[in-house]
Amino acid sequence: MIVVHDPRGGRIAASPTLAARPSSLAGLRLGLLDNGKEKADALLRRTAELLEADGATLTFARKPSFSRVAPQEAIDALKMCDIVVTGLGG
Amino acid sequence: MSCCMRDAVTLEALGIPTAIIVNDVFEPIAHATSALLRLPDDYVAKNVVWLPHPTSNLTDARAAALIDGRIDAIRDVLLGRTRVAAVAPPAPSEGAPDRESLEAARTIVHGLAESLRADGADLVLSHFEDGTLAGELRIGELTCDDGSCIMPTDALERMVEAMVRPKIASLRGVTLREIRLIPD
Repeated sequence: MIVVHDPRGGRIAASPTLAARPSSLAGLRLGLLDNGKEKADALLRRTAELLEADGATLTFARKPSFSRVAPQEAIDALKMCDIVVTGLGG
Repeated sequence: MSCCMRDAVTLEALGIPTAIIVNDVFEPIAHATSALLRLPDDYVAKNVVWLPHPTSNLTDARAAALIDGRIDAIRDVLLGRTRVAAVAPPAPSEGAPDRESLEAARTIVHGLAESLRADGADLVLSHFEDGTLAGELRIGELTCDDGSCIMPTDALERMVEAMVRPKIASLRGVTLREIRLIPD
């Protein structure tokens, strides 16, 4: 038997799954993922202040580089959250 | 931008609704990344909140005021409240002369080129021939030390193709030549 391997590499077989949205922010654990660009922290902290007033509790995580995906430690820190806001800058 | 979106997709797969706040100069990259990741057509409209570029030079007070003006949009994303109806892309043009296709492609990637210029590079499309769109990725003095702020050329080719193909049906491929500019 001859096995032929496709050199083009794997492709995404299906569209990513999107999470169901909550009906309210009250009592939810909010995560904020800072991508490390300048002023992202100030913008996300203001976002956190306003959403905390809606009843959300906060978890912050920061990426070491905006040009790479979040490291596993950051994702692990956010796994306990119910919702996340990520960004931003330039 | 593309990394923020990839992070959001990772979190969504874990069952965590995620809103993305980003500067509007990166809008073309957002749409292209969404297409590459096979996200729904309305993903960007429903899950991204735009801020006027640039934001790095804002005072803390000005940054807070900017978020104050966008917080309802952020809530809408997190709660899944519809903000903008999805708009179907225009039908792709068939059989347009190569010169027209080149100009159309330049318009489509204008925003992408702007975002590259914000990081010290540039995207210049030079010709469209026999279905191939060709150009240059010109790399000058980058805002990052290790070059990681600029997408690799092959990834940029795929992104340009994803952006242009829905509008120019005759497109078969994109070829970009990487040129490093030497400062004076």
